[in-house]
Amino acid sequence: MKTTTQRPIPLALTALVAFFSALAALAVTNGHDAHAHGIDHHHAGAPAAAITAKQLALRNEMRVLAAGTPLTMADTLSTGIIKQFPMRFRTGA
Amino acid sequence: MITRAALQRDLLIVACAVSAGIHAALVPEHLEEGRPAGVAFAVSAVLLAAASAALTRSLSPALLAGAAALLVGLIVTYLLAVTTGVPVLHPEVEAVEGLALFTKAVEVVGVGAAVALLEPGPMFTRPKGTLA
Repeated sequence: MKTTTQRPIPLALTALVAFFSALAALAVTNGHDAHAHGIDHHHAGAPAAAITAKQLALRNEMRVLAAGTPLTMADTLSTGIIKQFPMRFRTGA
Repeated sequence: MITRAALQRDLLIVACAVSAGIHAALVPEHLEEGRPAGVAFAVSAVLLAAASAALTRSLSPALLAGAAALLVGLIVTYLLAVTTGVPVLHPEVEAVEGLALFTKAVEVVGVGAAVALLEPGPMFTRPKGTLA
């Protein structure tokens, strides 16, 4: 036969402990997920930053039209490099 | 004043409750990995919650042994998950994470409390004048 000298923790308090444990666990796992997704977005964004030779030429032409200024040496060089080494850049259809 | 046995009983109840809450919170995440793992987490959470609730109402050697066995089973399963993987439930080896380590530490405390309560002591004493 068992004899208990003191009342155990009330059921409501036990449920509260479980509830807040779940909340804390969710907060921790969501933090990890957000961090992982942030890294993924960073990696996913890298390829989108690459532009094709056609896009670069179009951008340079638009800058000339918009600003009314001739292409700078850097613009000319970058377009030339892309034309010289097309295999390093995506070729737009 | 709180007796040692009462403290051990409360520790066991809290350990089961904390583990139940964490397992319940991790069900959706593990369901994404695979249905068996998610179901296993859900079943664990329900069993832990039931054990925790039952321990707040009554205390018997069978209940203590059941709670201890459940906690030991979860600890062993986790050790398998991070070393060799668990067939069917979690075949891939899981990375060690802080939350899991915290949960296992809580469960170890619960097992210790259950084992201490199962030892002959003031919590389970025969009334005077009764035979074995």
